[in-house]
Amino acid sequence: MSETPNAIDAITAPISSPGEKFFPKFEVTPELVAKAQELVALYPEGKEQSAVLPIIHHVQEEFGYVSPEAMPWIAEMCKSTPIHVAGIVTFYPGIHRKCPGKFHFRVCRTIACALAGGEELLPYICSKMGVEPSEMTDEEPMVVSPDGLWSLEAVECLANCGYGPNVMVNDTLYSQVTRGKIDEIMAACKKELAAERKEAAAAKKEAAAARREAKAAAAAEATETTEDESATKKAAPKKKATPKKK
Amino acid sequence: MSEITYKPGKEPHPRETRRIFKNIDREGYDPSIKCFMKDGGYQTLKKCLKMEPADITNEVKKSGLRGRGGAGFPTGVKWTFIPKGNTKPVYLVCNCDESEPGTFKDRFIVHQDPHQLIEGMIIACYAVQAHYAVIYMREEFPEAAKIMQKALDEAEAKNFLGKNIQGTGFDLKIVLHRGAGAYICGEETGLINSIEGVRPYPRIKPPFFPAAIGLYGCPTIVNNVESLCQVRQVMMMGGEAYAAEGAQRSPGTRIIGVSGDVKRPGVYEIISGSITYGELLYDICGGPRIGRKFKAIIPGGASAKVMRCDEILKDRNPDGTVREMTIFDVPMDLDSIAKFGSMSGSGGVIVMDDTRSMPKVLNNLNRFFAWESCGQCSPCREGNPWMYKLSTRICEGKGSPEDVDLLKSVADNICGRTVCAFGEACSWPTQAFTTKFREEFLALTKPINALKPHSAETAEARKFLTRED
Repeated sequence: MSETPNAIDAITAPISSPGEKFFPKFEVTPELVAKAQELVALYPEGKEQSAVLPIIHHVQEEFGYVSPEAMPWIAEMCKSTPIHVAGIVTFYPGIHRKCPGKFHFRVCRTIACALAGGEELLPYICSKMGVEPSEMTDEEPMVVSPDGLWSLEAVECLANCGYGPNVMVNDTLYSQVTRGKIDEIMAACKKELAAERKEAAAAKKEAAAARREAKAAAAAEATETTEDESATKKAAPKKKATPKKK
Repeated sequence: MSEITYKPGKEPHPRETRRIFKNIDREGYDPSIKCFMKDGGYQTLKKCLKMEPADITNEVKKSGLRGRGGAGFPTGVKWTFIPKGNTKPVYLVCNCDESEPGTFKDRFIVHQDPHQLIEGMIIACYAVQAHYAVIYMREEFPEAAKIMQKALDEAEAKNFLGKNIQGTGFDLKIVLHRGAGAYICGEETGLINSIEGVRPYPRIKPPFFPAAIGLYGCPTIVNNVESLCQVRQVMMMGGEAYAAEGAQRSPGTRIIGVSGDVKRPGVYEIISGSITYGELLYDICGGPRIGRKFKAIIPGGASAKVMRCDEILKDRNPDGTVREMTIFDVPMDLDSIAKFGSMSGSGGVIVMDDTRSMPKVLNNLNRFFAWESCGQCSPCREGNPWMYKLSTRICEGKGSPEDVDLLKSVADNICGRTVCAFGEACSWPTQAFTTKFREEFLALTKPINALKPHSAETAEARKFLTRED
């Protein structure tokens, strides 16, 4: 068979991004299935397809983006077809097919924010993130920094027009943003990341200690199973956090 | 009622009348149900649940309330469009996909006073006998989605939602559905398709009037956030009292969002028609920034036609004489501005002062519309990027005078040739900007540019054939 992918394969081809290391890889877990079923149950009977957007949102929240592997699963959950899900994913600008960075900046560039100077922020944020402004095109409006920490997307209207320029970082909206405020936001993000890493390291240390303890206990009492080990392991993965609004 | 105090720096202007925005930026107010009920919340609903549904519809009709999403269609009349003898379920959808640039009123309601909307929705659902309702919230409001979900859970815990509401036998389920950043989802049939889980292409009307064939093929009422809050206000005040206030043909209060080059941009709630654009911009918003002059106003969200501030508008007095006025003398209701060729739309006023280049403003708008066109109808899908290309070329100084006419002709050929109103929304700005600020566009062009190639490929192919200047 020829090596050239067909149009559908091209649409669903994976797009690699340095942001992936900050998010878990897509994996179907019982919790994920339960959540999807809960979302499907919100809609009238026989209208499972309505849950496609809510499930996509949930997948994006958990894994950062909608990967090609996720699409067939989403289709299965809402009794649709993978190509239909691909159609939805490619339609909406709010759904990412490429993993964003840990801190995803959305800068509004529509008229009201542009009058307030929103567009002038873009090159500045690019230089702070270490990305080229020219990488941002109309086809691919999101750029991810090489370290995967930052991503930048120029978006249309965040509906806070009176208080521009508006910038959204993950789920938090900042209004009347200046260059100085961008510096502050980025510093806060870095601080948050450091705190998170410290927490994760502490949790790892704790888990290791617990494991050692458990091992010792197991050695002492060979019949006992190491229940607490699995418990501490579960607690260890770091939580996805959003920067706090000042 | 106790004295209402507002957070420092957020006090309403004396000319404002806070009804829907009563609790916005209010001192000590939070979005919880406890706070809302302490303030008399859900009392109107209790009163309404004792009434006949048809009486509520009549009351809303009597009030003359007109939708606040942009089109200004009478809300009560919309409700009566549900076919008589309908046996299918009826759905109600709250349109919270506030995506018109310049409009930012719903944001405050859903973030700070979600129960007001829920109460309005329950009243509306009871009036049209809908047992399933959806709040379609735009993706850019993640915090509001959390607040709203919490509010819905609280309301359900207090039996304002769910089965047998307040012992009346009326059941209602409200689901929060989040969009994903598409402007077209603000169009009601596109929104319905989005909820159905298919691509949000607008449906053609007729036959797909939502009130007859809407969500899942059933009668569906789609109302804006502010409209639903106004429904609650109508039921609180009584239809006649509501109709007595404000402009005759568009009574009640209006929420106006002002953005752009004014000293104090923001959202203001005024009695419809009680002030003029001049009073809004000079008195409430503090006028232009120091040393500047107002140049142009977009009176109703990005898709409304722009108005020149120095344009002389001619209006007829009741006695038949003609009087001359400017945009600053036009009262702020839903219809007055329509007489002068623009529209008041969703109440987003965007102001530009004399430092702004109009072609650049239009170029920004064209990029927005090119980006947001859903791609269903060819004139819009192809025309918008073309208009964006043309306005970019003019802004870059590479355009010829003919390009200005071409730009307008592209817009003329989109308008009225599409399934939904997006075709009008995207072509009106171009038509208005190129007509009213034609000299600015022409100033950026050079006749010689008409003879030059526009792309690198043609430039290469014609490199020995093209005049330098």
